[in-house]
Amino acid sequence: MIRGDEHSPPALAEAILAFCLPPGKSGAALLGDLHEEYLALVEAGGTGDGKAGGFGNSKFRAGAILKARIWYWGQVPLLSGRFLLSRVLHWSLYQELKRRSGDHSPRFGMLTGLSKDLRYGARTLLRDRSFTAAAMLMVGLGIGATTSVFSVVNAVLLRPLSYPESNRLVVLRDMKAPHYLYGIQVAPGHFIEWRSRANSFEQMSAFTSRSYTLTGRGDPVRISGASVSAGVFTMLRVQPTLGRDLSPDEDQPGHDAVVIISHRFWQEYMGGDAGVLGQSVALDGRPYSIVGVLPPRVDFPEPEVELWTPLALTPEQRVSHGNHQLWVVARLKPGLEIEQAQTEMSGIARQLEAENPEFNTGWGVRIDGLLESKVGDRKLALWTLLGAVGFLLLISCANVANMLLARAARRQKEVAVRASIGASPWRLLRLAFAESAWLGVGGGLLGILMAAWGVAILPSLMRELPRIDQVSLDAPTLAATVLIVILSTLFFGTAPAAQALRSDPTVWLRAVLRGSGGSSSRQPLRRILVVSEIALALVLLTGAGLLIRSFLSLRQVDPGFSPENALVAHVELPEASYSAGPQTTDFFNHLTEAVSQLPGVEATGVAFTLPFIRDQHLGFAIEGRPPAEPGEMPSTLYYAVGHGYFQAMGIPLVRGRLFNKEDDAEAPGVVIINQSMAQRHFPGENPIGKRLHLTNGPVNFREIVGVVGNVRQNGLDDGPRDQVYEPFLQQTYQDLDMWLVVRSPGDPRSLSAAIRMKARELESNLPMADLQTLDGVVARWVRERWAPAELLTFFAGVALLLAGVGIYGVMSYSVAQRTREVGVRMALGAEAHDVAALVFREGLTLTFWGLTIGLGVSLSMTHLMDRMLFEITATDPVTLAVAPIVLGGVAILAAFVPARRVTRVDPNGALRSD
Amino acid sequence: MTKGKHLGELEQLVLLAILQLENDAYGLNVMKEMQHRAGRNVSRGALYALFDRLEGKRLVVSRYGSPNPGRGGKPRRYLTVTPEGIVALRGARMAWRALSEGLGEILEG
Repeated sequence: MIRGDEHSPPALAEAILAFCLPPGKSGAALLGDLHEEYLALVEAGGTGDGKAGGFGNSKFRAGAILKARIWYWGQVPLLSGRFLLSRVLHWSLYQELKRRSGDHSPRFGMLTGLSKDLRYGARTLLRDRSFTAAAMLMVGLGIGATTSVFSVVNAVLLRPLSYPESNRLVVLRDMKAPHYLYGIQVAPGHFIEWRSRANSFEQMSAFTSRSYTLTGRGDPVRISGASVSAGVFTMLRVQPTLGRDLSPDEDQPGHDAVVIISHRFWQEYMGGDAGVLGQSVALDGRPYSIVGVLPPRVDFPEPEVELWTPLALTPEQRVSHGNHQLWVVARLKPGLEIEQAQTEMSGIARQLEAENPEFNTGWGVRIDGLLESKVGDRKLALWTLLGAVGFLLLISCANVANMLLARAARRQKEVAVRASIGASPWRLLRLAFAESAWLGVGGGLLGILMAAWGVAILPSLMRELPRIDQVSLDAPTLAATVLIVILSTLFFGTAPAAQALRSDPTVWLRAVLRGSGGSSSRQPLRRILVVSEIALALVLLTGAGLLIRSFLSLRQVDPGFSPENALVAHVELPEASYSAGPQTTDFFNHLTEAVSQLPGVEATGVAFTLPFIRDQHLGFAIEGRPPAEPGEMPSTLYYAVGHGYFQAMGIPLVRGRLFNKEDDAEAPGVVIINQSMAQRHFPGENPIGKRLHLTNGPVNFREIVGVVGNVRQNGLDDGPRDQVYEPFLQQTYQDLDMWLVVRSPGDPRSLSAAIRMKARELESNLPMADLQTLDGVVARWVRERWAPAELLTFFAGVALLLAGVGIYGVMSYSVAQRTREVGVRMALGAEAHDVAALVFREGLTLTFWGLTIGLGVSLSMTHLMDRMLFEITATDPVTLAVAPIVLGGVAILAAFVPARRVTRVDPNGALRSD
Repeated sequence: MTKGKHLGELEQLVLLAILQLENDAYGLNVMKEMQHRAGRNVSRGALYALFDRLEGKRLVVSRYGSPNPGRGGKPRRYLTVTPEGIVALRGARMAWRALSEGLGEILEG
């Protein structure tokens, strides 16, 4: 709802305005004026800038749209405040007139009574503006934070996938303890067997992601695609807008030159031509005939995928049980649960194990819901955040309840008088609730405004989440917000209302007339509220503290290579003009050579896999060691690299030598291993000169010539794992795509243009879009990993502030209430600082209980975050010590200020008060 | 002083701006005109509330244009000063003249 198109102002803002402005044409005209001015702002920003040229480039335009939207949102509080107020006043006036003119129809009796109460509440709130503003701000903060995070949780976790009956869609993975407990891709042979044997599924399909170079339609471009087995869209229940799904006949090698295209591809490259079926597009230099066009926004398997071609497994692949390369998706039969399917699939895995022990020993099947598998372990971070903002909301509500109680205490005289002249308890309750209701409404509106800002910011912080682009303040989110507002209002409105209900006029009046400051019966409630606030804030602080500590340890981690001053580029050769083999290796050799000649280049190397980017696993065997048990062959991370790779990445040599130019296809086979592998498989031995065989080709033992440092492959929190490097000139199968790594002494980005030019000189049909700094690759990983921690820290900071405000409020109130007592004590000879100590001790007691309870709750809750922590446990003593100290410090400061005020009490004045 | 309604300063300025704009006086334009000719920034809320007040005093009348897609399908509210509005403006001008007589040196200095 928040994201309309650029030609219309933000829909939510418009809806709020439409609600607040006068009904009828005059309100519409004002909305129209705003609309017109919004468009003018967009146009002025998009074209007015001289730099932008005739149509304005998209960056300027996006900036202009953003500015215009911000401007529009700015109009909302200005206009809605003004017009809503005048409407409320008019309405009250009208009701008043109706009452005076004697219109007392019983139907309206209760309503007019209610409106009177509401009016009364509004008036008293308006009289005390700073109180109202503070309370609304507090409620707004809680609601805004909760709504923003809920909108993310809703879009990412709760909203069903866009396919019909998507809860029946599941992902199947090969699984093996202990390394692949969470499942890895599926061997094609397994997929074929599962599909023919399993009865739990309506249909099962497999796919792999790949990309294609589109030629013949402008400059060559890389387009994301997927190879899918026949009938996958029938399974997903996606009906092509034109044409049909892939047929089983086309899912065969040799018959597979057909393609289904996305709506976007159809519009962008085929001009939206209705006669597109049967037309041919050149992908990787090969003609594919278009057989179907999908409706817009199909995000299978990823939103960026535009082309789907048949998987067409070869006869060799269909029986391969070792090469795990497919993703498998299936639709459960109606009424079946994942557990039932799991039981059946485990049985099938046992059959396969018995039939083919060499490859299948120990392998099982893991089944997860499709949505579940897309979100993965990021679910935990999201629920943690939602829990955190929930706590924040509770703290704000407790604060507001406290403020209302203090206010109610000041007004007890009025309530007592009302009660004594016959106001019913019901009436008193309504009066007490009227203010809370206004605070809830005002705070709720403010919260929605804050959330509108939140949903604009949050997605940019959590870009890696699936469907994060769909975060919006949609109807379910707003409904949840309304519910939260009602619950919050009940929460902070109940305490003062209950107080009003319990009032016994005689007791009250007597107390008031005696001038003793009234009953202190609500003090325990206020203390309980403050203690809970401190406890909740401590839980948040502890959670944030644990994440900050994890992050700090992560920052200390050496990735095993030096990310500074290096550039990486993905280079993918067009399949049509290159075949895997000498032609490809020649190209990458020439490219390395040409780039290393560029001025300012220190080292250059190519690699098929890169840390943080992609990995590959291979089995291996060491010469002279007994053969592994079936299915127990050790596996290692595998890297096919060019000779300058280690220098370009900054991976240190520990012993032996690095690869050089002579390690080519004719030379004897060599490999380099990492320290972890040397220690694990050659403890106490010198691995140099030993030989090992990798399972990517026929048995061929290669000599270990060097040992290099450990590299963290999949992130800074990835432990040391075995790694084997092989010269890419010697690997059995060549790949058409490699990563180029370039190191320079200065800023490597200055080399981008020259590198692109060199690459184009060698191959004009080379799309080379992906040039990034190695620093940037690592930084992106850190940023994604850090986003929830950053947000949690922010919320914890706010909680700290609110808890401070809470304790300050209670202490100031307590001091104000006890002025007379203090006066008496001082008149009787107590020293000022004794009295101050008395008050201060009260603050300390509250803080102590709050911290104690909070620590207990933290200990019982933070272990839920275990999987988000790095190198510390949920009972990290440093965090558990520092968080209470910080919060205790703030609380003591908040108690100290009012306590000090006691010392300035003038006993004479205090005794005369009341 | 002639018979008529008393006008506040902002009311006078808005009525004058509407007259200046002739047939093209709608909210946005009036706001721009005030800014352009008199250097006065009036908040949108105040301006529209003023239109309602002036209309209530019958010093202006509104008419609504046809819905316009460039405005999200919303009409424009065009304002015209009524004869009563003109009388009120004249009254204000005469009062101003009468009181500023002989003060030319100070006022134009």
